[in-house]
Amino acid sequence: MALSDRTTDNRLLYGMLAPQLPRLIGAIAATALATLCAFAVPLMVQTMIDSVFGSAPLPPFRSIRLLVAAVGGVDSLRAHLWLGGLLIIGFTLVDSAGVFTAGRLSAVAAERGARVLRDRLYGHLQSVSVAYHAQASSGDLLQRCTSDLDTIRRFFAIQLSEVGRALAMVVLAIPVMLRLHPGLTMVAVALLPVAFGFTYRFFADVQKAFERSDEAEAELSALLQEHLSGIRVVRAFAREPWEFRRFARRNEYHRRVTMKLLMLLARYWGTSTVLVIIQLGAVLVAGTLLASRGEITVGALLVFLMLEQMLLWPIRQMGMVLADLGKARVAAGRIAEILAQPSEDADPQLAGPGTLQPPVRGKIEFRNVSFAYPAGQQSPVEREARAPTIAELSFTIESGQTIGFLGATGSGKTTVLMLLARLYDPDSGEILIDGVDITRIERRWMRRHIGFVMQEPFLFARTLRENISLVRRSAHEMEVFAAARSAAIHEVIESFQEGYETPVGEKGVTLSGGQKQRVAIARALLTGSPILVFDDSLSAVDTRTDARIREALFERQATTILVSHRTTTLVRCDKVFVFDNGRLVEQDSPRSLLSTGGHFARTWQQQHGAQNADL
Amino acid sequence: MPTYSDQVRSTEFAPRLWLDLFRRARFLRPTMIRLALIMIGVGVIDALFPALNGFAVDRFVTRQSVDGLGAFAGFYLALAALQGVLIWLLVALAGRIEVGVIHRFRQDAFMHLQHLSMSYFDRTPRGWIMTRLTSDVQRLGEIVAWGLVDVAWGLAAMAATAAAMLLLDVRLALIVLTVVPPLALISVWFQRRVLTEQRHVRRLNSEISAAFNEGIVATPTTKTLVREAANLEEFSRLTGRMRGAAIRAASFSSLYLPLVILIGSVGTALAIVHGGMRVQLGTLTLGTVVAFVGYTVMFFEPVREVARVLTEFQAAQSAAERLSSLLTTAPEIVDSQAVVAKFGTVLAPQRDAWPAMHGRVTFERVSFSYSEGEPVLEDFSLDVAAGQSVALIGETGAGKSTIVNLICRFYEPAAGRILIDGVDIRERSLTWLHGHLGYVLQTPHLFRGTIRDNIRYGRLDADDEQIEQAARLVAADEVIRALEGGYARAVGEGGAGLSTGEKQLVSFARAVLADPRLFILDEATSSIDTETELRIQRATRHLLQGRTSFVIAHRLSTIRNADRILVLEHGRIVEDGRHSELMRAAGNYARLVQEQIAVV
Repeated sequence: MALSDRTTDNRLLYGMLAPQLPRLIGAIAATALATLCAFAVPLMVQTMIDSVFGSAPLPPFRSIRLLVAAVGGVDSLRAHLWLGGLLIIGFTLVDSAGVFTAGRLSAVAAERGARVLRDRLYGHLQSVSVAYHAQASSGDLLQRCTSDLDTIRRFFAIQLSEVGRALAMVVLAIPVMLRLHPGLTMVAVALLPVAFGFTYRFFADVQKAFERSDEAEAELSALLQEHLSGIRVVRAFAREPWEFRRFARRNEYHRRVTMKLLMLLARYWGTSTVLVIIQLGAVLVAGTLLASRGEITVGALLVFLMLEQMLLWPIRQMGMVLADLGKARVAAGRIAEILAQPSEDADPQLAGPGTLQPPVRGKIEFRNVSFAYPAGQQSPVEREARAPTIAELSFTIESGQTIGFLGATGSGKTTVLMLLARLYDPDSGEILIDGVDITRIERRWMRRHIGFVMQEPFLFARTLRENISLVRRSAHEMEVFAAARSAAIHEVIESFQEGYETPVGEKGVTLSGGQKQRVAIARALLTGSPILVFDDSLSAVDTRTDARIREALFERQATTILVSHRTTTLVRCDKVFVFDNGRLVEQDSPRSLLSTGGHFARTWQQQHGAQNADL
Repeated sequence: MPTYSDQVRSTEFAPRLWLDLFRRARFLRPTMIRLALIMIGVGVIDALFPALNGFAVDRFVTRQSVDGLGAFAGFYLALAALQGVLIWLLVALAGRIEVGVIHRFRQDAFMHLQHLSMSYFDRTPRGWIMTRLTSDVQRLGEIVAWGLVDVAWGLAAMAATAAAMLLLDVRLALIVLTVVPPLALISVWFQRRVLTEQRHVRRLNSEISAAFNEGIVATPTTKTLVREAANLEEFSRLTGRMRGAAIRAASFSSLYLPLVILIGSVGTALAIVHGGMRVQLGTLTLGTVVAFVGYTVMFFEPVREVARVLTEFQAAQSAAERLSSLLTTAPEIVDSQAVVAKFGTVLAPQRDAWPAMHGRVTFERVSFSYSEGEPVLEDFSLDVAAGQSVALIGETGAGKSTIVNLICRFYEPAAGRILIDGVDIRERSLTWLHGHLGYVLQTPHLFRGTIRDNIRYGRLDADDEQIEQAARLVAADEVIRALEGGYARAVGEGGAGLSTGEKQLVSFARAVLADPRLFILDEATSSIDTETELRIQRATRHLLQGRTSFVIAHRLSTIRNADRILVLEHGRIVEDGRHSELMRAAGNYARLVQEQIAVV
């Protein structure tokens, strides 16, 4: 995943920026207008103090002079003092409108951009291969999709406009000041670079302390999370004191590192306050000196003081924003990494997307299929410690047959199913469906024709009805009920207070492992797929229910693969395939396998021998 | 009894709630008082600056003399230094309060959790508890510390500003101050609106996180169901709602500041027009007008801060309520005073005083129900001799887990009593009971850390040799050694990285190391490959030897080896005996064995 470099990170940011350009330009224009009007207020104050109440000439700005002339000159202002007040309020009104417009436009730009990026990320994460998800940490991915994305959003919503405002202020304020008095302007901007530089350096340096505090917090919540999920073990071993000490240590550590960070911040705010006040004081003292000599008017001094106050905050803020800029780039880099991952159809590790959409009847053929998981990856479904490998596997399943898979963990059963659903593609050999190589069949077409129930199926956070009819939302209620009945879950669902409308997950019922499996089975049955695959999906179901579900399955015409450790389940199949270490060691009808006495027969003995002896 | 609810949304300010929480943070009171004093100092100094501007104009400019300007500059510098020190202190003290509150609330909450009954954890979603101890606590720490800062500063600055203006000129002050009431009203109204909008955005944001999480975790399912396009469509609807809400919220926020600046400019205009008029008449100095202009520019800030903090307190109230509901939930099962005095508390047990446990377990006419009107056990009696192994079998809901929960005292009977070695378990401490108990769950739970650490959880002072010995006893040693890293292999949360069978073996070793007198095993139903299965059978046999044990059994091998099999139906024992006896009786047991039990 080392695909990203600074260019791609920047490209992501620019890519997000480009469609929002008109809005951003609008925001900049509004900011500039607002700033101009904001500066007009002190100049109006100056006009009033110096020229209306005093007798000094008007401030040396054409716009002010034109404006005064427009309202009838200084004399008219003197006669109608409220006119001056109205002008001050009027300028502020335009200023306010500009600030609001800029704020709204940059919010619109940022939120639109964020939405586009969110959708793109979500869509992309669904399109990349299962292999990618197997090796990625879901917590890390989630972090990138949420907090990293938010960092970028904030950058566009807040930081960009802060920088724009600060720049507009500086660019527009300095000419005004220079016109009033070049010397005092030098004094007025003397400490600005220092304030900016100090803030910038500080927030760049203090980043580590921020991170340490965040990490301590994350560590603490991980501990808590684990404590809560293992609470029964804690109680059963009476380990409360030990757990408490562990938590207290972490809690104390978090306090320490966070306090350290806050002490650094205290130093920053203390120092920068002194800087700001000294800068203001310098303007006041130097301005007073000049004014007492008559070099500037009182009004001009007031203009300097007001402008200085307007400048100081954004300049200081800009230091913080620029120090934060790195964060947005890092976040963009982490998101770009995900987006750089090729989608399934473009993944060089997989075969091409395939184009055919043949009718699927359900004959399955494996010809010399070999497959190994990429280094460091495991089967995402089994999540077992050893990565299974398939070597030179060949078999044929006729349309409509029911086949049982037996074998130890890691022997390759699940891998065969994953290859069939094109979640992975074989390294060599061919898989044929009704005689067509499946790498030539469109991936989604293939999957649409396989009802796949995993060992630990995933139910979505919605109602039970929606979970069952996910794939066929148009399904009639009676069809949903029928599927649920076949999966022996209908009565269970009906027993819930809200029945089929019961939500699943945190906000609804917590289903047992067996119940989840049965809902997933109902979901697969409702698809009416010609091929049904059950990856040990009856493992958490008691034997009686297991038998009921099997009865329902045998009534269907579909080609069915049943993975199970229960020989009683397997014995009803047309054929049983026994896997060992990625090879098919036995394949025959259960009856003849029992009589020839291989692995299947031994397992049958182990599971039934003792019982038969007694019964 | 409602233990948690997200519907807490009181709009009424509840001072009692805050007082309760403040009382928990009472050790910070001296710091808070110091901080408040400092804030008053900061507010007063802030209010001084416009007056200083006015003073400079009147004293130096109007008189056209720079006498004393040096001293003035020196004073200004000193004020700068003082304000710098005060600000430094303010952040340091507020920081100490913030982390202090967070630390204390977390500690209290975690400690309280250790005393709550199992039923609480069965009822309360884990995520709910997590949020209380993470974001809620953090929010409260922030608002207590920085809310105090802003309110103290805001009030002090407002008072000092008003005082300074009144001192300079009463009439002009009263005229200018007329803008304060509309400013305050608008601030309060806006802050409240902004918070409502933000709350909406936050809710949508967590929905988006949940959707992302689902999208990531469910990828294999999504792909096999070919749900990509439909999922994205739904997700996009959600992000569209988010976009709308976020823009609304941001627009509201960006409307507020211009509005208060606008109101402030009315104040400026009033000061200039009215003040200027009187300057012309000679009844007011120019410096005073300069000072007033300065005040009108700055006084919306304290008003805004106070309004913001007040609304934030109101918004944080639900966090306070939920945390306080956790902290005040009474544990349903507590040791009596006498028991605590004798045997110690959960966090400070007095092990020396503990009597030994032999392991005879007696239920005397016990009744129990999880929810009213649905009794699980009624008038249930049972006597198990020390050292006996008991297999509990029966359909879901027959009462197997309930019996186990009652023996562990995770729940307490509604009537009747449970005795261990002839003594009511309420006369012994919970920790004594749990200290002698071994419990292996149906789905074994391991903690993050090495396998060795996980086994050591059974007995904290065990050395490596004892740990390996325990593993050998349950035939886990070979399996662990075959793993990459062996005993030092790190496992993830919940035991991630190990197969179910391996996790079970490790949890057996952990239980055997604890060497409990009373052992409870909830057998896993899920099937494991045959080899591991055989190991687990051997391990189970070893674990049950020589100790009283209750097994919620699903495996025929376990049941056959039990001293006693209890067949339960609707909370009653319908059959009781050894395997061979019950098989001969050809009753429920024989039927269950045929139908219900994993035939391994």
